[in-house]
Amino acid sequence: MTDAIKLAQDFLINSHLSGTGWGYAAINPQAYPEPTCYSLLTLDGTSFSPNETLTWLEGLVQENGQLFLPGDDMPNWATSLLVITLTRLDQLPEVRTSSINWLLEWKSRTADDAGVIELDPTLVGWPWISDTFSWVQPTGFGALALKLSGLKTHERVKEAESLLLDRMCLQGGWNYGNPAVLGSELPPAVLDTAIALFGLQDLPEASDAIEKGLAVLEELTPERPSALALAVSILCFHVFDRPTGKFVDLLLKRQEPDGSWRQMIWWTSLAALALQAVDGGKNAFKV
Amino acid sequence: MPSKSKKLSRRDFIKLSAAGIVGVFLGATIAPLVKRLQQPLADVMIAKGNSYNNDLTGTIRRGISYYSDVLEKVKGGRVVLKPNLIDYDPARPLNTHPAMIAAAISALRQLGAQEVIVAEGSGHNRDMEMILEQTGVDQVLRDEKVRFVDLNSDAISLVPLVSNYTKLSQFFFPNTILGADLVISMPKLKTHHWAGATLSLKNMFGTIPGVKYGWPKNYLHWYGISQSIADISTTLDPGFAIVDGIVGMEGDGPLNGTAINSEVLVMGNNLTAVDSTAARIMSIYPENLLYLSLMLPYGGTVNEALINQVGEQITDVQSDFEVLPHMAQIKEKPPLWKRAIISGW
Repeated sequence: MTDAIKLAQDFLINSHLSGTGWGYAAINPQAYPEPTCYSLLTLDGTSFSPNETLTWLEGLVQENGQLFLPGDDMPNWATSLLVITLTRLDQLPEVRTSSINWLLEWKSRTADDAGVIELDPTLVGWPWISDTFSWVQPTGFGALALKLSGLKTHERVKEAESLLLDRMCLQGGWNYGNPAVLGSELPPAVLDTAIALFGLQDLPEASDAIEKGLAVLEELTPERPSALALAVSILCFHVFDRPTGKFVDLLLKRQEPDGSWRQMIWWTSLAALALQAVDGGKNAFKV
Repeated sequence: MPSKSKKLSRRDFIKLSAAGIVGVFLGATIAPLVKRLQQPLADVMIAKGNSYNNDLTGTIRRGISYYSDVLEKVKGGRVVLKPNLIDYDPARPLNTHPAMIAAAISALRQLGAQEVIVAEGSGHNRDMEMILEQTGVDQVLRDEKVRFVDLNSDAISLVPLVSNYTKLSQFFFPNTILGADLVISMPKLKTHHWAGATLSLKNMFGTIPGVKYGWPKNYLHWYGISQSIADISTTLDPGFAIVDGIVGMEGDGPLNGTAINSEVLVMGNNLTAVDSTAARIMSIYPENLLYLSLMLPYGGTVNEALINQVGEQITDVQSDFEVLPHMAQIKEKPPLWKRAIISGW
C-alpha cells in the first residue's frame, strides 16, 4: 500500500501546475481549489513544498474570507474545503479565520413552502453558489469545516446537521439533496452520502441515519465501484471505524501504472488520502 | 389676407409627436413579432429505428451528409459530441444509448473529422466514471480511443450571452465546448417534469460547469429553466442534433419516467426545428414549450409549415408520450393567438 501511495503522490507532484495548484484532470491547464486542497492534504509530510500553492489559494480569498474561483467574482462552495485544508496543514491562520467567519455568515436561500419537493425549506445550510438553496455536499463540508475548527456546538452546525437529516433519502443515504420530487422517491448516491456522513460525525442522535448511510455505501459502492466512490467510502468507513479491506483491494486494482486513477487529480488525491487513512490512520475528514 | 404660416402649431406638434410615439411603440412591439414570423426554412431528418443493433452509423452518416454546412465543419474539424448522461439507473433509459454514441463517432470519422471528443457535465451525480462505466459508454470510449471531457470540471471562460432572457449577461462555459468546430447535441427523447420535454436544446444545460454553478445547476433555475436553456443555446449555438428516440422516456422524466419504444431518430442543423419535430413525435405541441418560443428571434423554427421533414413523416413515427398531470397542458392544442404568432394560422 505504501508503494501505491508513493506512486500517487509522485503523480500529483508531476502534475502540479506551476504557480497555481491542480486542475481536476492532469490534462486540465486550469487549477481549481477542490483538487488543489485534496492534493495538498495528500502531499502533507512529503518533500513537496506547498508555499507557492498556498500563495495562489490565498490570492483567491477576499478580505472577508470568501473564496472565489479564478476569474470569478462570486463566493464559491469550496471555501469549506479551504478551511479543512488550512486547519489540517496548520497554514495561513489569518486566511483560515476570515474564511471561517465567512462560512458562519454565508447562508443558503430558504422558502416558506417547498411545493412539490418534499423537504423542510426553512432550514439553513450552505449553497454551492450565493443566493441559492442549500444542498447536501456544501452543507456536509461546511459542517465538517466548522467542527474541525472547534465550533461543533455552533448554531450553524446544529442547523446544518438538522438539514442533512431532513434531506436523507427514504431508504437511507443521500443524493444531491432531494429525497423525493413530485411524489417519487429519489435514490441515494455514494459521494453525497459520504460527505453527509462526514458532516454528521459526533452526533449521537444521528446514529440511525449514520448506520443507514453506511449501509448504502456498503451496498452501492461494490455494485458501482468507481475510484471516487471507493475512495470516499473508505474514508467514511475509516471515520466510523468500520472495515475497509475489500474496498481497498478494489481501489488498488484500479490504480494505473503511472500512479493515478485515470489521470484524474481529484480521484487520485482522494484515493491516496483513503489509502493513507487505512495505512497510517491519518484521515483528513475525521473530526 | 394673412398668409398661412408654415410653422407647426403647438397642437400639430403635439399630434405629430404623439403619432411618432405611437409609431415607435407599435414598431417596437410588432417588429419582434414580425421577426418571429420570419422563421427560416429548416430541414429535419426523421429515421425509423427499432433497435440499437441496426446500422446506426449509416443512418447518422447520411443524416450529417445531408447538411452541407455541417459536413464542412466535420471535415478536418474538432467535433464535440454532447450526449445526455445524467445518472445511472439500471431500470430506466435515462441516457443516450452507447450504441448511438459509438455510431456517431464512426460516422464522424468516416466523414473526415480530425478529432472527436465526447463531453458531458452531469447535472446530479458528480461521479462521471461510475456513470460512464455502468452505462457502457466507457467501453465505447476505450474501443474507439476517444477522449472524454467532464464538462463540470473543465477549464472555463466567461462568455457574454447572445440572448439575455435570464438577465445574467454572461455565463461560464467549458473551454472544450468553446473550442470546438462543431458541437453535436445528442439527447434522449424524454419528457421533463419541469420543462415539458428534454431534447437537443435542454441537453445543452449539461455544458454548464458544476464546479461553478453546483449540482444540480440550481443557480440557473432561479432565473428560469426555459430562459436558461435559451441563453445557453443561443450563445453556444450547437450546429447539429441527433435525438436518440429508439427507446424514449415518458411520464416523470428526466429521471423517474418509463421506457417507451418510440423507434425513431431525429436529426437536423436547426435545433429548434429538431426539437419541435421531436415534440410533435411525442404528441406534444411545441408551441407550448416556452424555450422553443424563446429561440424564435434567434433563428429557431417551430412552425411546422416551415419545417421540411426529410425521410419519414411525423405521423408515421408518432407516439403518445404520457406526461405528468401538472404538465398536461403541453399536449393540449395551443390557443389561437399562440398558434397565430408561432405557427401561422
